[in-house]
Amino acid sequence: MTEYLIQQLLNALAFGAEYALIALGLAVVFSIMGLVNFAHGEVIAASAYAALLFAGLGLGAPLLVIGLAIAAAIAVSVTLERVAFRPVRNAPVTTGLLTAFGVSIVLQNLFQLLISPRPQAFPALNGLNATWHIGPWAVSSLQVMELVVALLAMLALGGFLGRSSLGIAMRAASRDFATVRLMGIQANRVVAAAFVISGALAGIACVFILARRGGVTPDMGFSLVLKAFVACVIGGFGSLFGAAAGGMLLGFIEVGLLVLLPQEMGGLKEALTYVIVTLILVYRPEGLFGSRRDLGDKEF
Amino acid sequence: MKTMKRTGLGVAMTLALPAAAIADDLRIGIAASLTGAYAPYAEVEGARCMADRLNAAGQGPKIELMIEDTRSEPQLSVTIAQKFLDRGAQVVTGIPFPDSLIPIAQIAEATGATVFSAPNTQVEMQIAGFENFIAGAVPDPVNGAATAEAAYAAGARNVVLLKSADAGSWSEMLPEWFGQSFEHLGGTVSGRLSHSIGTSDWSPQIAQIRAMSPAPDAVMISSVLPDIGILIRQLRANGFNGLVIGSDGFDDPSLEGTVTDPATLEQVIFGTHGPTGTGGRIDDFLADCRSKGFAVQGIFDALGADMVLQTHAAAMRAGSVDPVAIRQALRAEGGNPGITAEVISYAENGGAPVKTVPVIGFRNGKRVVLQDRVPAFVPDWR
Repeated sequence: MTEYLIQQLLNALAFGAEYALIALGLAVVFSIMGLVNFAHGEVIAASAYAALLFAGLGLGAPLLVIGLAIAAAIAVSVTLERVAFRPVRNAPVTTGLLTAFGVSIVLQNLFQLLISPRPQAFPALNGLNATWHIGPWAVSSLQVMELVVALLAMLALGGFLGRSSLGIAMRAASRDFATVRLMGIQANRVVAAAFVISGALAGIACVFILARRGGVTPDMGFSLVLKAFVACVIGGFGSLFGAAAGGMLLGFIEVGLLVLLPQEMGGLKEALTYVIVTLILVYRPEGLFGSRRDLGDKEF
Repeated sequence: MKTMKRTGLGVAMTLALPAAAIADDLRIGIAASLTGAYAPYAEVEGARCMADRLNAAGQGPKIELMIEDTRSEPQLSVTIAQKFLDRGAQVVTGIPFPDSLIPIAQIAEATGATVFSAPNTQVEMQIAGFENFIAGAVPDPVNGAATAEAAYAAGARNVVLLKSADAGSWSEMLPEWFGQSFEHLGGTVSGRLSHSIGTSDWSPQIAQIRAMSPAPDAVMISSVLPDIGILIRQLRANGFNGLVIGSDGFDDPSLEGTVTDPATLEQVIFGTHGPTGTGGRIDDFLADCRSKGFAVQGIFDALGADMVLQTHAAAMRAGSVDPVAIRQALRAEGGNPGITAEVISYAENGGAPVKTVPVIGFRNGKRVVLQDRVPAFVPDWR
């Protein structure tokens, strides 16, 4: 029984790490622009289709695929900022939200109509997903890597925001954009930096998703982004640490319900997940690591 | 290709005598999910290809296909279907689920048109009992029963069922119908586990399977790719060497590419609507369509082609494009020609076809037909 529980604990950590990676990508953009970028999932999908294209052109070596996927995600993310989000930067928050949803739907439809609505096999990264048997436990190499990369991403992001001039400008912009501009810092540069970071995180998440799924579908990122959004809300939407912690907590809630609920109640898993999330928000309306005063503060 | 011509157009041509009198077009309205969640199951390209082929052959009424995107929204599909009916469609179809098909069947009653859902397998429409409804695929309990026969024959004795409420009875009840048939044959259902459609990590369920005693020698699931491919790979990576048994959701060309390992594929069995990837009649049809520029992909396109071919043959048999006459001819004794089976009959069940259910396995990474027959025992689902 203990072995079984530890095994499920490891699984919950892996679920959480995936949500945390995507939630960080959402939180970075939200912190600067106040935009919940629901098109983040389509950045992941676009990155996957780009990897598929590169592999079709003979560029299918795993390391090359990883690099190209991340580069493609950054390019798509920055392009979306320039084409879709910059024009509505000064519009009300709801306009940005609707724009993000619109971009998400348009991209999904383009993938469906121009490529295929059906799954496209992509086994180039299957080798990353080995199973390590450590004593009685089976640990996926991908789970370990995802957890480590999520932690490293958070540390790197913390270091960047705390020590680099651009990072400090981004933190300042998240508190008072107008003042930052008055001090001579270009708004476009700060916002573009946020989308570069968000895109890089989407690209990294894409690599793990591709390695696990072995295939690409038009909607592969959408449902994950919805979960990442929930993670951000649980953790406190102003906090990067909160986004990551919310992702981990959501992973634990999902795996816990999957394990504990009797099969005949399995259909209630999603509903109960949201009941728990609601209870957390009743207790902490600003999220676990958000604060009323500093809602929007991105410091760890 | 040659086989298809023999069985499809060949049979149709033998019914062509009364067709000389047909002057009006045969209008088929497809409220199709070209985008949205159900887009992977669209039958449009196969239907277009078959209509093109039949029109080129010049026998019987000219087929006019009317196609509009529903965006996978049931309410929009009803609006589009109404538009098709207003334009005189004798046959219409919508999203292959009851929330779309029931209202379409209701509005189609006024014109006498038939609602012909090529990929529909869910029993709800059959239980609802609309006189003007026809499904192109066998109901899920029949699929589950046929797959149980093949799985038992392959040596499975102790199966765990993976179930989800996300895709209605197809993902929730089909495993149960499989289980009932499996137990009827002498096998045991040792457990039931939950999952969600869209699962990309099966580690929690696999940990539960590993903790079961006695260990199951087979897993049964009705789900979609790429979820299934991930499950198969993760089960294998965790030392599970039993069978992974599935339904028509497995029948996608990406299955082999997602799993990749031939030894792992050898442990996969699934029931479907017609054998693809085995070099048979359906593959010939799909290859011919691709050569003509149609973006066909797999079994759902073949079901779409069935719908057009059968409707056209029924119109020729009836000698009329009157919608009620066409439906009577669709349900006539002896059935009509199909792509997924040589003959598809509705004479026995009215709304669900009687045809063989192929169960597919793998040898050396290639698909093989393990059995192709009507199952001897089907659980009572009505």
